[in-house]
Amino acid sequence: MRLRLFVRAYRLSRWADRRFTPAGKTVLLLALVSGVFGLDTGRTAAYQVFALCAALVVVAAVSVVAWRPGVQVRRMLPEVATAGVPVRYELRVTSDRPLSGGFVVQDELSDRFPSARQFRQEVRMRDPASNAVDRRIGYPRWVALGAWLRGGTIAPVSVSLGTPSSEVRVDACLLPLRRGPVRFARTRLLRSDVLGLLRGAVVHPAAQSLWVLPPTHPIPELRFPGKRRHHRGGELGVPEVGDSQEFLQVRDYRPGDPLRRIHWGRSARTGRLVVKEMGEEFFARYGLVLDTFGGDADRDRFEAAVAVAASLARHVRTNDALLDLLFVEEHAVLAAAGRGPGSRMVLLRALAGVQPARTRSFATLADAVLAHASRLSACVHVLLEADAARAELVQRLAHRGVAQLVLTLRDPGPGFRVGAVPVHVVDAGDPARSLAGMPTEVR
Amino acid sequence: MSAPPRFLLGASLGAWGWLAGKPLAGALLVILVEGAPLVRQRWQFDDREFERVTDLISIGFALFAVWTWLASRDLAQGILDLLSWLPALLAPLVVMQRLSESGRFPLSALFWSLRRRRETPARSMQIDYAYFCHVLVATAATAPRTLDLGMVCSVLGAYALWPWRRPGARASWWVLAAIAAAAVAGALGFGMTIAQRFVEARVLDHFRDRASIASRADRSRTAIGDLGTLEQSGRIVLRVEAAPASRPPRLRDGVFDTYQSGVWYAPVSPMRSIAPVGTDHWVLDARPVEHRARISLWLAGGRGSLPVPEGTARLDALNAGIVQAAAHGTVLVAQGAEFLDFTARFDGMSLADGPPTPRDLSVPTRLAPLLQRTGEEAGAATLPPAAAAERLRAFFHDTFAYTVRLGANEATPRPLDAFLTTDRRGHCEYFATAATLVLRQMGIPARYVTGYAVEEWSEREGAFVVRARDGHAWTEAWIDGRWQSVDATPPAWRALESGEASARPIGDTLSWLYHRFNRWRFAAPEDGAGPNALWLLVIVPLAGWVLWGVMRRSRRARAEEPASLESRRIESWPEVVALERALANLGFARLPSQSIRGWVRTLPEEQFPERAALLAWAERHDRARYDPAGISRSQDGVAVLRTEALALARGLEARTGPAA
Repeated sequence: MRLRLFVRAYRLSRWADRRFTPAGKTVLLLALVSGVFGLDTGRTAAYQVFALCAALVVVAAVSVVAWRPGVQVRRMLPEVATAGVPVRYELRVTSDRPLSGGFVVQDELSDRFPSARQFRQEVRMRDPASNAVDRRIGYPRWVALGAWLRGGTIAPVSVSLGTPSSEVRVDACLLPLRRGPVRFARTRLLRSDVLGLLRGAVVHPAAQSLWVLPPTHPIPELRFPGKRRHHRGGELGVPEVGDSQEFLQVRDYRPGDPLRRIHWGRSARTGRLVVKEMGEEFFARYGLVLDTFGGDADRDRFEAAVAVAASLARHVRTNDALLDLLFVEEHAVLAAAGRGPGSRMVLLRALAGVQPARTRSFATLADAVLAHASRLSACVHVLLEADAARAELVQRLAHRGVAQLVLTLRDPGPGFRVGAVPVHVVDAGDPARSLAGMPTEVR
Repeated sequence: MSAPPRFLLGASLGAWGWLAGKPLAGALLVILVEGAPLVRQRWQFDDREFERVTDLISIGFALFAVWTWLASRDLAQGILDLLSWLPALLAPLVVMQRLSESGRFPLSALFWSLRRRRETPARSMQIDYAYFCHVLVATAATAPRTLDLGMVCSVLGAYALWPWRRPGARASWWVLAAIAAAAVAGALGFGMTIAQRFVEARVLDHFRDRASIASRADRSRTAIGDLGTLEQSGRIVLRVEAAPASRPPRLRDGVFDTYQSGVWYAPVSPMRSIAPVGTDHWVLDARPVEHRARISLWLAGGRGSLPVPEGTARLDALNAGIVQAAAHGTVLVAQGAEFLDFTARFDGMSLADGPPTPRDLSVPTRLAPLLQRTGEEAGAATLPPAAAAERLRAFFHDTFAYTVRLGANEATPRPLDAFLTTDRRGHCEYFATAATLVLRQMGIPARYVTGYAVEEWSEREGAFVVRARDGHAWTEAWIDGRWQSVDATPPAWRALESGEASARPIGDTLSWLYHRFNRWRFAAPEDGAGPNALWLLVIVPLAGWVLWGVMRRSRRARAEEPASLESRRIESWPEVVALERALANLGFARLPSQSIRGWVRTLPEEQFPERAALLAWAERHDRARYDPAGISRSQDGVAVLRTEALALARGLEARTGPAA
């Protein structure tokens, strides 16, 4: 019941913000006050002020109805964005008749409202912008959570055209508040009436999505042990660049070769079937384990863990080694990054969408990591908890000769015994500072 | 909102002074408010000084409100008097804003929660438009309803809205829209007055019929035929102070002579205006009378029929402007105070009431046979008037029962018939209506009368208290050349009503205290009581003591400030919050999980030339926060850090303007 009221209140306030200019809101408030004192027309003349305010609103409403240009809007978004980093993009507005004067372009994200469970779990009770009454009612907290769920904020852009034009290009700015998909819903053009009290709106539905990567922080250079393991089948060493033979390892097709190894582009150019040749290789493979268990209860800590993992995924120097990201959502997920500089994007995209594990237990992650352990030379753990179950995983990996570094967002309890493996506690409130002081040796 | 057009406030204050009848005050305020921008000097008022002035004005407002309420005879008028002086009360805030360096008014002066948090100084606003709205409402609420007011409001409103017109819009379109709005406003205002008159004439009158004190003088809607229980509250509505020998058994406030479908209508008789003797003495009849009773009551709206004893000849200390008397005996106050405390001199005999008219003998044709049978059954049909009235009264007392409870199975389209034939029970309106009509059927002129029974003595108050449930109806019959009361309701009704939840000790005590307070509050100055100038000698010292206490507290708070700085957490420094807000306004908000240094590093260099300075400050901030040995925690080190933060914030704010 309370959330339904919040939704109505929020929609009403958004509608009022869109439709009424500051002068319009002032006139409305003046109408309310003068209406109270002017209730008895026989006693005071305040009803005349009320009548004047009401008349102004009526005349303004009539004049905005007439403005109805047909508009099309194209949104030129980048491929990805990063949480906390403003994204500037262009809106191209075309109209069936020339636009002139001043108006406002408001790009909007899809409305998303917190569920009852999310509202209860939101623990931002000490919002410094709220007073005790606000904290008790919870509406500011609900609004802030809704903004976070929507994924960002977009400031309206005022446009003032000196000469009429049917096409206008507008620079908008999105500030992503969180990682993951941000969904755009529509673009509104708002123009106030001649008196400057009300705004007329023309809406153009423009659904689009933008993928927001998690924020990252600088990390010191980690020293991994120099162990290389045999990897059967190898990996494609370099990306294909043009026709240069120097960069491609191909040979003629021999019966029995898997069809998936056929290099179709080269085959088309040469007129004969050629296949990519995979050689036997020896290289290091490092694991990046992200603990997603218990993240549902504390959103801030979970987001900090994802940011730490993303920082490692982006900045850690592995030289020729590969980096495998392992985590569990509904099931175990393995995302592997190749050797190229752009290959880490795979991991960042995976981290952009990771959610806390709700239906599985930590054993699922432990089993997945241990199953992959034979290929790993080293492993960096990002743990939400530091308990016996997690300590056991570290110990078992250590017994298999995997060098490790543990980054935990909880102070280790008495059951967390991991021997000589370095352990570093990350402050969820300030992960950047914590990462700056982390140990650099993985052993 | 931005600054208003030049001289808008001065023009509105001038209009206020002219239309509200305060020319001197208006001229003074115009000089103060419009003279302030002409002063070259500006003062650096900090937030606490604004808060202190606001607190002083709030205290002054509260004291002025109390004084107005005490001195006013009408609460609503008191509120309007207070509203009319609001422009003068709030003017110091506007002047202070105009003389300040920032030219803005901090919101912490208005909200205690902001004072506790001590957030950024950027949380401020310009109060000019808000003040303009106050002046407009104050002018309209106290000015007479003339065309001047409408034109002044229209012109001032147009001038205030001119800067807000849409950019690029033609001025001619704007003028056209403004004229259209003024025309619509005129029509709407006219329509509102017409609508109110219609509503008052049709709708409100329907509810006034059921009111206990403010009853209509021209009709009385009975509860005959209603189902359920006749609800009457135990609330005290009247007080009568009289010697036991002078106790009036009833107070009469309405006389009616025509019955139709459950409603009694008053005689159409001319109202005689009574000329007062002195300021508050009203003589209804010159004959000498020996009894007197002091009556206190609230009369809603200061107008209505006055409950007075039968045979009232004179009213003393009645605080009214216009008093009228009808030929049939009703006394009306057409204009008076809401709280009345007067003395009625009476003799209990309605000698001054006019003789009966043909309407005092009229009965509904349909009921005539039944009324005849009832009179015969009572054995009163052939008796002389006095005996007939007495016989009829005894008949109702002995063979009928009093009740206020009617069951659901007693719904009937002819309730009076059922009362006289099968039910033989009902409340006082049944008995009074039946007795009146039966007497008329027997040829005796009779009228239906409403009022109150005065029965209950209160030891605490030393007076008779009359409650809402003591409201009563009876008959007056023309016997032996004068109107005489005939109460056909069985006497058991008094015991029944007084037995109904009669224990209201707390409510009665509060009501008595409130009554004593009102007597003091509305006492005439010559009585030596009341809120006269003498009481200013109490209020002024009290106000002075309060003001001294406020200023002493603020001085102490200032002295304690430096010592409390160290105990405050660095994270809540308003300067840091200001810096965060400034960068957020530029589109670079800090995430909760981001450190200050990390956040500053994300700022693009090409957009922020001061990035290096920000980074250096952030490093020193982190050292102060996490490594106390790295920066002096003394007052100077912290103060320098905060000053630098504020300077950086101000520099960033200058790029976007202060936060709205």
